[in-house]
Amino acid sequence: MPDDLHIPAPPAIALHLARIAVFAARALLGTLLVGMMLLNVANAVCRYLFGVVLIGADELLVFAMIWIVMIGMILVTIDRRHITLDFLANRLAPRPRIALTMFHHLIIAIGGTYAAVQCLEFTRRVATIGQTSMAIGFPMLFAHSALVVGFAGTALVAAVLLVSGGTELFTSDRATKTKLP
Amino acid sequence: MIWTLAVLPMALLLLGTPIFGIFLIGAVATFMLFLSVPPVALHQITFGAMENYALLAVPFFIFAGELMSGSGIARRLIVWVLALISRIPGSLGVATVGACTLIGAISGASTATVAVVGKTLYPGLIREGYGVRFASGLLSSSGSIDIMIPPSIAMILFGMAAEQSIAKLFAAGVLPGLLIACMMSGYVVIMALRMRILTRGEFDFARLRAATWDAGPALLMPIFVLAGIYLGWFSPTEAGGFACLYAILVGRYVYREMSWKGVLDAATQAAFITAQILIIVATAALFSWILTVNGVPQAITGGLTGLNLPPWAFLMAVNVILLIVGCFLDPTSAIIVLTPLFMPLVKALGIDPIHFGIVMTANIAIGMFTPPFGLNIFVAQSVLGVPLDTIYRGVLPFAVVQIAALLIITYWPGLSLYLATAL
Repeated sequence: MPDDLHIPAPPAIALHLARIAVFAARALLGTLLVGMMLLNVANAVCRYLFGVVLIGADELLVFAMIWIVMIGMILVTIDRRHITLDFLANRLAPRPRIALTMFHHLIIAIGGTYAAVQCLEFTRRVATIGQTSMAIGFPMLFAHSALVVGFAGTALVAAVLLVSGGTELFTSDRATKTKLP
Repeated sequence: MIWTLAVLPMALLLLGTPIFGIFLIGAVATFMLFLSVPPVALHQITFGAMENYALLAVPFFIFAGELMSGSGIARRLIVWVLALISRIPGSLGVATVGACTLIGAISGASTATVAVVGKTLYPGLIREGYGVRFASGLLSSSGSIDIMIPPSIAMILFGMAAEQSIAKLFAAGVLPGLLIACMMSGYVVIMALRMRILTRGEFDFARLRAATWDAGPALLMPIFVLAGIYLGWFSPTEAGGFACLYAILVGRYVYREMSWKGVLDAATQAAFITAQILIIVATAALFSWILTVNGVPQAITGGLTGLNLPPWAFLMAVNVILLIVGCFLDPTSAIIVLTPLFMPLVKALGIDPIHFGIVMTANIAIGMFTPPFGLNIFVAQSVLGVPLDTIYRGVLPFAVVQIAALLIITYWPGLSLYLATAL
C-alpha cells in the first residue's frame, strides 16, 4: 500500500442523515410496540366486555411483530449487539479482534444477501398473484416485504461494517508501522 | 451435508459468529450445495416461523420486564422480599433468590432479571460479607429461575415447537420453579451460616406491613396475569399485553416514577431485545426444517429406538445432552433446533410432552449460567464488573444445586403435571 493512501471519510451530511434515520427507526419500533400492546388489550377487552371481535387484530399484530423483528435486526447489526458467544473475541488482541469481527460481518453479508434475493423472488410472486390476508384482506405483499427489507438492510449494514473494519485494520496497521523506529 | 449442517456451524460458533448468522449461513450453504428444494422455500420457512400468534407473547413479556425496572415495581418487590425474610440467616442472599423468583413471575427474560436484581442487591451482598465470588455466582444463577417461573419465553418457544398448550406449560412450571428457588435458598442459608453471616435483625411486622402496602400493586401484577390466564379471561399472549398496560398504569399513576418518555424508551429497548431473540427463532426454525427434510430427527429417533432405552434412561440421556448443549448454545436456539429432534421419541416412549417441556426448560435454565457461554454470566460481568473467571468459579456450586433439582423434576413427573392437570 502506498504511504500517501487517503481513505475518504463519509461526508458529514451523510453521517448526520444516517443518525437521523437510525433514531427514527428506533422511535418507530418503540411506538409500534406500544400500539401493538394497545390493540392486543383492546381486542381482549372488546371480546369479553362488549362481545365484539376486532376482526383482523391478530393478523395486524403478527405482521407488526415481523416488521419489528426485521427492522430491529438491521438496528442490532448496526449496534453490533447480536446474541453471540464472544468468548474468543474477548480474549484477542485488538487487531485480530477486528479481523475476526470482519469475518463475522462477511458471513452476515453473504447470508443476508442470499436470503434477501430469495425473499425478493417470493415476494415478487406474492405481488403477482395479489395475495391478501384471510381476515381483513390485508395485502400480503406488505407483510412479506418485511423480510426483503430486513435481510437486504442487514446485508448492506454488514458490508459497510466489513469495509469500515478493513479501514480500521489498515489504519491501525499503518499507525503501528509509523511508530516503529 | 454434514459439513454445512454440523462442522461449519460448530466452527462458526466457536469463532463467536452471531448465532442467527450461523443458522443462516448453514442453511444458505445447504440450499446452494445440496438441496433440490427451490431456494425460495427459505422465505416461506422463515416467514412461517414468525407468523405465529403464540410468539406475540415474547415482545409483550419482554416489554413488561423493561417497564418493571423503570417504574419502581422491581425495586418495591425486592424491598418487600427483604422485609418478609429479614429474620432468616443469610436473608439478603435468600432475598436475591426470592426477588428473582417474584420478578420472574412478571418478566419473561432471565438476563433482564439478573441486571435488575444485580444492580440493586449486589452492593449489599458484598457489604454483608458474601464475597465477590459467591455473590456474583448467586446472582447469575438465581436469574435463571426466571425461565422456570411463568411467564417464560422458553416455555412459549417450546410450546410453539412441540405444538403443546402454553397455558399448561406455564402451570406446569410453577412447582418446579419454586422447588429450585427453595433448594437455592437452602444452600444460601447453609453457606451464610458457614460464613457467619447472620440475620439482618428481628422480624419487624410494622416494616413488613409498610412494605406490603407500598408493594401491593406490584405484588398484584403476577397474580393478575396468571389468574387472568387460568380463569380464562385472556390467552397467554393477551396476558402479556395486560401485564404491560398494568405496569404502565402503576408506574405512571400509582408510583409516579415513569414518564411517557420512559414508557417509549422501555418499548424501544424491548423491541430491540425482541429482534435479537426472534431473528434467532426464525433462522433456527429454517435450520431445523433443513434437518427435518434431510431425515435427521428420524435417524436420531431410529438410532435411539434401536438402543431400547427405557424412559428413565432416555430422560437421563436428554439431560446430559442438554446440559452439554446448554454450555455452548443459547436457550432460544437449543429449544427451536432440538425440540423437533426429541419429540418423536418422547411420544413413542409415552413421556408426557408437558413434563418433557419442563425438563427441557430446567436444563435450558441451567445452561443460562453454566460456563463458558451462559448468557447470565456475561450480563453479570457487564452489570457487576466482576472478572469472568471469578463468576465461573462462583456459579459452580449453584449449578450442582440446580442439577440436583433437575433430577427431582425429571423423575417426579407429578411435580410438573399436578398443576397442569388441576387447572
